[in-house]
This record gives sequence, C-alpha cells and structure tokens, in this order.
Amino acid sequence: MRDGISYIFNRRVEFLAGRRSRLACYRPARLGAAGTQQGGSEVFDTTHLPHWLFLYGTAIAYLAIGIVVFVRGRR
Amino acid sequence: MIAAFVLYFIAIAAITVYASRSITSTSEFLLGGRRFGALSTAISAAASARSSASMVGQAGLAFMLGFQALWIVFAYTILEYLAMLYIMGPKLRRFSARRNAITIPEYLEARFPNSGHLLRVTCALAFVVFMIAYIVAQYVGMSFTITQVLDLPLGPSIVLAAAFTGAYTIVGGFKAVVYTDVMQGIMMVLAMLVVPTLAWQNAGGLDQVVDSLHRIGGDGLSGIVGSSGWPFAIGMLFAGLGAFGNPHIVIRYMSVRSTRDLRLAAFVNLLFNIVISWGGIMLGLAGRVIYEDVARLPLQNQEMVFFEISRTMIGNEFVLGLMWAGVFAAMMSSADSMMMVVTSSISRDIYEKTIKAGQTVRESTLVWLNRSIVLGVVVVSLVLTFYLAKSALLIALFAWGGLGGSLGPVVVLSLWWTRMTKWGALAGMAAGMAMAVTWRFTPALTQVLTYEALPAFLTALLTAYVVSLMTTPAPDPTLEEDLRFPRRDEFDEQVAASASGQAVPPSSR
Repeated sequence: MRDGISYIFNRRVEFLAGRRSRLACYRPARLGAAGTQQGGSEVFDTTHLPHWLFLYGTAIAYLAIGIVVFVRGRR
Repeated sequence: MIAAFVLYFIAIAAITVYASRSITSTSEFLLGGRRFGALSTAISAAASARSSASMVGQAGLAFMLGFQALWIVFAYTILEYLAMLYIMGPKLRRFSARRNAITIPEYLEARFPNSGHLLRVTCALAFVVFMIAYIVAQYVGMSFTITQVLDLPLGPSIVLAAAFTGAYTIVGGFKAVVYTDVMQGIMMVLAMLVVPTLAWQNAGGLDQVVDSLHRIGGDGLSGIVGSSGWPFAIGMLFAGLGAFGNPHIVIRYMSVRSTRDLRLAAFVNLLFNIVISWGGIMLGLAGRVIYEDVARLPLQNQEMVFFEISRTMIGNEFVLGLMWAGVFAAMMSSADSMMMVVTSSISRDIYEKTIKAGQTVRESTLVWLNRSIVLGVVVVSLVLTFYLAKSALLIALFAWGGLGGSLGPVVVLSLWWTRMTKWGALAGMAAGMAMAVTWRFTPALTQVLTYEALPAFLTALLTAYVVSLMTTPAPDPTLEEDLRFPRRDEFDEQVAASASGQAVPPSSR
C-alpha cells in the first residue's frame, strides 16, 4: 500500500517537474538566475521568447480582444 | 483528388441555383436585399478579403523573407475588425439604408447630396479600373491551381477559372456570391488549419524553425525585423489601412441584416483572419525550413510551397483535393465579390443613376443588364490576364494600397465628421491617389517606407480635412440624425426595413 502511494506521489512530482521545466523555458532569464542549470540541462531558456511573442503572442492577444469585446457587448 | 474538386463545383452550382430563384430586382442582384445574417456576413467578408495573396502569396513571402513577413498581417487583422465593429460598419449600414444607397459611390452621393454625379462617377471609375486589376490577379492564381490539379497548360486553365466564376455570379448575383463565400470560407479555414499544422510539426516547432532559419539565412531570415529593416516592417504594418477603402470588403457592412449582427460578424471575421493569415505565414516559415531553397519547389516559385507541402504530407488523394479546393476557393470568393463591385459601379452608378438619371428603367431590364455586365467584366479580365499575368500580383498590391489610401480615409471621415464637404471628399480622394502613385514609382521614397498605404492615407485625410474647412457644406437637415451611431433598440426597425427590401421609411426617422 505504502509503495503504491509513494509510486503515485513520485510520478506526480515527476509530472509537475516536467511541466515546470517546459513552462520555464519562456520565463525571463532574471527570474531564474539561481537555477539556470539543473541536472546539466538549461531550464530557463529565453532565446526564442521574442519570436514566441511575435508569432503566438500577437494571435493570442487579438483573440483575447475579440472574446472580451464580444462577451461585454452581449450584456 | 479530382473527385473532391468535382464535389466542390457541384456544391457551388447547387447554391447558385438556390440563390438565383429570388432575384427580381437590382437590389436583390447587387446587395441580396440586405438580409444576410451575422455569420454569412462575417465569413463572406473574410473569404472575400483574403484572396490568393493571403493563401499562397503570404506563404511565399514568408518562405522568402522569414519572420519579418508577419508584419503584414498585424494591422489588417485588427483594422478589419475595428472597421466592421465600430469605425465603419454600424454607421455605414444605418446611413446607407436610410438613404437607400446600395453601392459605395452611391453612399458618397447620398452623403454629399449637392455633388451632382461627380463624386459617384469618379469613385465608380476608380473601382472599375482597380477591381479589374484585382480580378486579373485572382485568375492568375486560380489558373496556377488548375494546372496543378488537372495538369492542363496555363492558357486553358485561365479560361476555365474565368468561365466558372463568371457563370455562377451571372446566374446567382450577390446572394450566390455570399452563400458560396460562406462555403469557400470554411474550406479556406480547414485548409489553413490542416496544412500549416502538418508543416509546422514536420519542421519541428517554433524553436527548431527559428534555429533552422538562422542557419539557412542568418538574422535576415530569422530576425523579427529582418533583412529589409524597419522601412519594410512599418510600411507593411500600415498596409492594413487598405481595409478601409476596398469596396469588396466595405460593401459587406452595408449588406448585413442589422447593425447588431455586426458584433458577431466582426468576431467571426477576426477568427477567420487569425487562422488564415497566421496559418499562411507559419506555412511559409516551415516550408523554408523543410525545402531550404526555392529551387526545390515546383516551377522554382515560392508560392508553390502550399501545394508542395500538402502533396508531400497528405497521403489521401480526396483530402488533398479538398485542401487544394480550399486555395481555389480563396481566389474564387475574392474574384466573384470584385466582379460584383465592378458590375454595380457600371450598372447602378454610371448607367442607372447617371446616364439614365431621372428616368425609370424596368427592374427586369436592369437585372439582365447586370448579368451582361458581369459577362463583359469576365471577358475583359480574361483578355487582360493573358497580357498582365506576370505583374498581376504587383498590380493587386497597388490596388489594395491605392484604394485604401484614397477612398478609405474619405469614407471614414465622411462617417464621423458632418462638417465635411464634397470638395473635401473629391480633393482627399485625388490627393490620396496621387500620393499612392508617386510613392510607388519613386525609389527614394520606397526606401523610406516600402508600402505607399500610410503616406497616401495621411495625405488624403489631411487634404479632405483642410479643403472641407475652406469650403461650405451643403445644407442637409437630416444629416446629423441619419449619420449618428445606431442605438441598440434600432434592431427591429432595421430587420423590418430589410425584409421589405426598402430604406427605412421617413416616418420612423
């Protein structure tokens, strides 16, 4: 029983850690200055942040404007 | 693959037959009786505005220029949204219904009642010239698609493209154009969701694409402001101003059932534009990563990137046919709308309201006249296509900026400033057009800013403002009331008026 719980707990931690490292790729470097190296791999990589904002960020911003205006207008 | 195209053509023919049953008047033929709902208005506007230039042209541009090609899509996406939602749509719909105007030149004459026919005819002639140039560009794009699908030579492909688009516009009029646009718009979105997604995955996603572009072409290709620098970025950003003056888009604001429907229409139009425009750019970027050199594409043409990627990555012939039909749909939906603008300019603005001014012309005669004019437009455009095929896209780009930079500011100012005069409108249009031509053909100026839309727009706006202040507006007692922003409770009034195909009666003003 205890092995089962610890297995699930560990899997959860691994899952969250994986998510965190993927999300962390797009955080500004200054936030991660203390932990840029973890286990030999670079976690806080901001190399492509401008491109991410330029390509995806603009589309998401427009979509958000459209949704907000549409929903507010229905009231 | 041919089966998918045949299915697509059958669907278009069925819609056309359905739409043609109710055409009994000019208003029905040219504006569908102002009874289109929000969804059909939105999808039709997006399908008409996004043409071959958006689907294959922007992908080709991104293939050649890299990330900086994205500057083109920012402004027109948000400006078309704002134009439909606030700046133009509600006022234009309300005013044109109250004064019974069914074309843009007719709107200008209604807005400046003492202008004689000068404004109307000038504007109509500009539409005829620029829209035919635009149609030529669409025919060229369509014939490229046909050569790929049917393996036909370019000449017969151009004739086939022109004949089919002309046939359903002649029979079904504006209603067929809008309903087929809805189907074509959905096909365009599907194509631009599926093919760019496959290409983007194949290229390895954003990180891989950026790194690969840097390896292939350095910062010039991977940079946000690439090899062409800020003059290109800012020039292309303001190319979006064209959205205000292109009649095949603006006419959609007048044909919607009510101003309230414009909110949903603007939102759906925005979604379509995001998918089609961003999809086109991402497809081109991924294509450059996958093929690296334009020499590896068919015909050594960067605009073939859509066809080559879909051919390589989609195994099922029927699905591939649907994707290619989506590109064909983009061109056809633009060409048919442009044909309607030219037709309405000639039949309504030049013939009915100028040559036959004050005389009664039978509605059945006018409907047949309209159909004959569409046929004439098809023939003229077809002949020009064979002469102008190589420079067609350049002409289309100039038409977009020229109309947007001259007519756009005049219409916007006329909607928001009651003090504007007919001389201000005329001078604004002339100055904007002159600036667009001067800028385009002066290399020193294009080095400052690559695209002429912004200088032309500002010149037209300033000229229209100054000349209006120097002249006296004609007395128009109901102008303030007719031109105000619509109230929310005007919805029922508009639906009732559009159901009868009439302008709003004076008693309800």
